[in-house]
Order: sequence, then structure tokens, then C-alpha cells
Amino acid sequence: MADTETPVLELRGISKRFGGITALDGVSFQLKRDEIVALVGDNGAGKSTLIKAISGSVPADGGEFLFEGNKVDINTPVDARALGIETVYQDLAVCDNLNTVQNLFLGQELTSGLMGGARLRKAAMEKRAREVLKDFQVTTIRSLATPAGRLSGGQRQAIAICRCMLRNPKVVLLDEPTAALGVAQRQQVIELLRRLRSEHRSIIVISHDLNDLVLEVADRIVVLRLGQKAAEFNRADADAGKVIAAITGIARHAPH
Amino acid sequence: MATLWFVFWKLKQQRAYKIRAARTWEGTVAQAASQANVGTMRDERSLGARLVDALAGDFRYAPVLLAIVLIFIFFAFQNIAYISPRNISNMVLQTVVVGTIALGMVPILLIAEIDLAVAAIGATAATLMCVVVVDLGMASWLGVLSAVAFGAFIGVLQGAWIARTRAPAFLITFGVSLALAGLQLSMLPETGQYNIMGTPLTLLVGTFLPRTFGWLLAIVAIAAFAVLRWLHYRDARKAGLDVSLANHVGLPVGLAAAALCGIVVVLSMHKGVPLAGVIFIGLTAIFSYFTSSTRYGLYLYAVGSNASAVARAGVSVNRIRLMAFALCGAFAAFGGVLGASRLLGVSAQSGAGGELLLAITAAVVGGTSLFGGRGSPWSAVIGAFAITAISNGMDLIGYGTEVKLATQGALLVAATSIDALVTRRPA
Repeated sequence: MADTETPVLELRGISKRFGGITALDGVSFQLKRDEIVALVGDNGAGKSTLIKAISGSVPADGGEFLFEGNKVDINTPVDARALGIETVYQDLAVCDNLNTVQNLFLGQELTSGLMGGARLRKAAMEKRAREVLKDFQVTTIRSLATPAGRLSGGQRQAIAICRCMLRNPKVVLLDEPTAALGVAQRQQVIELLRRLRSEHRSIIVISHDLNDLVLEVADRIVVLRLGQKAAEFNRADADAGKVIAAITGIARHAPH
Repeated sequence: MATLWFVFWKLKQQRAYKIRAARTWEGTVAQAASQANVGTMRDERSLGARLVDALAGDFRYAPVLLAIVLIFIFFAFQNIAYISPRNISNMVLQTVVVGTIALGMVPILLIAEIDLAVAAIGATAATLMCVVVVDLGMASWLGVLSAVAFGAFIGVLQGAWIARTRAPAFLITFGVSLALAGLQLSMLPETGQYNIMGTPLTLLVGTFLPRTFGWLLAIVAIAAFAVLRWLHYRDARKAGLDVSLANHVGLPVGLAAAALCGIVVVLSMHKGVPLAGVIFIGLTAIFSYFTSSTRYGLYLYAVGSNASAVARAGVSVNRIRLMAFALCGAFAAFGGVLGASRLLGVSAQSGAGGELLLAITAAVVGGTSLFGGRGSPWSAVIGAFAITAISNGMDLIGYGTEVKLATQGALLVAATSIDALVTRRPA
């Protein structure tokens, strides 16, 4: 906490190609401590690809990441996780046939070790799950034994978010967290973003929701267009008109 | 009948890790109904939709268990010899071969793949065993070990290939099955068959445990089950969850004990508990522990449902695929070994007798979904027993092969269709 100047995460010239298509072309920006950066752009601008590159699920093939000032390699989801970067994917990455507890702990199960028969510590996980769900005021999931396929969209999203929080991350990436939600739930997500920031977590959030989310809570706004960074705004300087202009490419001159 | 109840309760307990375990059957229904529609107070869907829901969840094993009861009643009326201890003992041995191969099918189906090479793996592995034991004169256990190792090796090869190329498993494994059939033919001597009569290999299926030993095993099994249930109970209590000793340990252990004792009583009236049956149930129990209580078992279900989510959770999906195919190959090979032991040898006909489709049918009839992510090792036991009960009854009454084939085909079509109906229900 002493060093507040060094960005938590810095991207330098991140690039990604899929065959002949350049999805990301030298994207650079910084994520500072306790900051929410909104990533906006038109469909196909490379937002999700960028999130996947940072989370390691689709590793970048050019550029470098600096985490708390040190150069790091992020080639797998495990790499990102080890740094304290957690992701809430747009599709939520929930397994429909697993229950809430199993989904929350997917990939990070508590087990008794080989001597104890490598048993899953189901009760311990369930207890921890209850704590996390309670902490995030998820009260609608009645039975933790219900398969996720039978839960509502909001409940499934709650699972995806709580799963990240189990690991107490420093950086949280959210891909379109409000896309599938109703008005009330959307407000809850916005409150959640504020709360995470107040808990000294840094956030990158993709959203199309300019007025309610982006201009409301983001400290900075990074605009992507055709795989490149088209503009970057501080919230104080941004308004919907400027951001939309940058998204569509009509902006004459972008700050930065 | 006792077998069924035992298996049934094992299944129920395995699946039901619930804090508020349903106290009664009615309770289970109410719970299933309330879970089916979280968020609203009343379940307003049609009775049919709720029925499909129940069949996909808590009552998945009810139809096949009911079917087995009906099969028993039907054939018993045709010929009372059907329910003689002698015939039931015979049925157990028939179940073991198909059931072991079906057991291998389970992890493959769980990850939403298919392996059409299981019968060929079994036959080739059994032939390898004969080469090792008969031609090379080595110890029987070495023959069995090399057969199982061979099966696991073929499984690893298939799994690695399919995981790497993402080519459709059904064609890759079909190709492998043809190649293995060729390999098997080239391994057979000029007579076209191996005879293992007089070798210890026949003891695998030919051995019946002395009565006291059978009972001793039953007691050990019940005690092991009780310890496992108690461990669950203790953990749940430690975590401050609301569980009762009677529901969590007493009831399941009591029912399992009653069922197991019933089986041992019936089998003891003939020659005793068959060794092959003990091995089969033992393998199923271990495998069931793996799928229900360990991390990699859980990943089998997760991969079958959403492989990309598993990958993004930091788990190597390819490793899970490899593991599933290796397990399948090993079980298939052991099934082949048991088949050879039962038929006293191998020939060019081994593995060509419909074992493949029977194994798939058994797993699906038992409730393991072809669409991945749903099922249990015990489904192989129930399903294999159900189709064995049918074919055994038909043999007893004297139906010809044409009727048996048609029935098996119809069963596969029906089981698959029901699976599709239950799996692809509207959300």
C-alpha cells in the first residue's frame, strides 16, 4: 500500500492475431490501485480478446505485462490467478450440472490430501460458500445442492462473482457483467464495483452500458477500436458524446 | 432383488449430499419440485415437465429399477427356474463381463465422448494375456496385468490423439477398433483360438468364495461403507451443518447392510459368492468413490458440461480426457479378461459378440447420459444387470438369436431416446 504510484497492472503493446486477423494491435494502458477502468468499444473492437489475454485464457502473442512494476508472463489462467487476477467471464463459465458449492470451488477444491484418501472436503467448502454468499448478500439461492442449470441468470452471475472473491484478488476483470441482467440487478452490480474498489481492488470492466455504468463509476475509460486503443478519458473529462465519437471513430483528436 | 436395493441406496446416498436430506420420499419430491423453479413460490409448470425433471434428478434410477422388478416377475411366471439361486448366480456372472466394460464407458460418457473400441480392446487384451500365459508360460497374474496395462495404453493413445486433434471420437475409436481386430487376428495361433482350460486364469470367474468368507467380506464392506458415511457426517457436523446421525449414517448403512445380506443369502444357496462378482462390485465402489469424492472425479462431470469453463478454472481439460480414456481402456481390457476366463479362451469371435453395444446400452439404461456430465459408475451395474436379466430370461425360455438381437436393438434405441428427452428438456 505504500507505493501508490506504481500501477497494479500495466499493458505495453499487447497484440493478438487469429490467423490473418489482427484482433489486438499494440494496446497499452495502466490500471492504478483502487481504480475502475472501463473498457468500451464497438463489437469486434477486441475488448473480450483483451480481457482473455490478461486472464491468460487466450494468451497474447505480442507485448508485455507489468504487474506491480515487475514484468510477468501470463500464458495460462493459472498464471493470472497466481498474480491475483480474477475474471468474471461474459458466459460466466458455470457448469450447469454442478451445484453452487462445486461451481464456486471449481479448480480450487479443498481436499484432505492423499493420506486422507484425497477426499473433497465438501462440508468445509459448503461452509465457506455460505460465508461468501452471505458476504455478498446472495440470499436467493435456496439450496446449495441445486444444479446451476436450474438457477436464474442473476443467481448464476452471483456464483461467478463470488467464485472470484473466494481468492481475494487484487485485480478483477469483468466482461459485460450487466448484459443479461434486469434493472435492479444491474444496480447491484454497480454497487458491487464500488464496493470492490473500496476494498482496494482494481477493476477492468467491459460494458456497453455508457450512462448507467461507465460514466457513473469508472475512474477512467479506455476506448478500443479495431484492436487499437482509440482514446482514453478521465471520467471528469468524459461525456457520452465524446466516448461515442471515439467508439465510432468520428473523433477528430483524442486526448492522450 | 436385494442387489437392487443395495445399489439403489448407494446411488441415492452418493448423489444426495444435502444439508437438509429429505426425510421421506414425499420430502424428496417436494424438494425437487421446489428446486425446479427457484424464485417463484408455486411450480406452475405442467405435470409432464415436472415428471421429466424428477426423472432427470432424484428419480433417475426409479424406472430402470422398476423395469428390473417387472422383468423378474415376467420371466418368473414364464419359468420359475428363472429366480432359482442357480440362475441368479449365473446372471451375476453374465453381468460381470458386460458390466466391467460398461464401467469403462462411464468416464467416457461423463466427458461427453464415446469409445467404440472397448470390445476390441477387451478382445485384444485378452489375447495378449493368452500369449503371455499360454505361449510364454508366464504367471497368470502377469498375464492379467499385461492385458490391463495394454488396455490403459491404448486408452492413453486414443485419448491423447482425440484431445490433441479434437477429431470426432466415434470415428477415431472406430478406426482403432478395426486396427485392433487386425492386431488380434495376427496374434492368434493358426487354430484361430487360445484355450486356457487348466490354467489358473479360469479361476477368475470360476471361483466361488466359501460361505464364511463371503459373509466376512459382506461385513467388511458394510463396515467400510459405514466409516465413509460417518466421515461425511463428522465433516458436516464440524462445519456446523444441520445433519442427523440417523438420516446420514444409520438409514443408508442399515439399508445397504440389509441388501447385501440378502444377496449373500441367495448366492450362498447355490455355490457361494462368486469372486468375479466381488471384484466387479469392488471396482465399482472404488470408482464411485473416485467420481463422487475426489477432485478429478468431479472434473469428469465438469468437462462433460462445460469444458471451456473447466479450462478457464485452470484445470487441464486434455489431462482429464486422457484420464477418462485410460480408465476406459483399462476397464475394457479387464472386461475382456473376465470374458476369456468365463468362456475358457479367446478366438477370432471374441469381442465381436455385441459387447460394445451392450456396454453402451448398459451404461445408458443405468442412467448415464450420452450427452455428458450426468451418470454414475453404479449405472453400469444396474444397467448391465437389467439387460442381462432380459437376455438370460430369453435364453431360458428358448427365444432365438433373432429375437434377442431385435430386443437389444430396441432397448438401445429406447434408452437413448429417453436420455435425449430427459437431457434436452426446455430450461
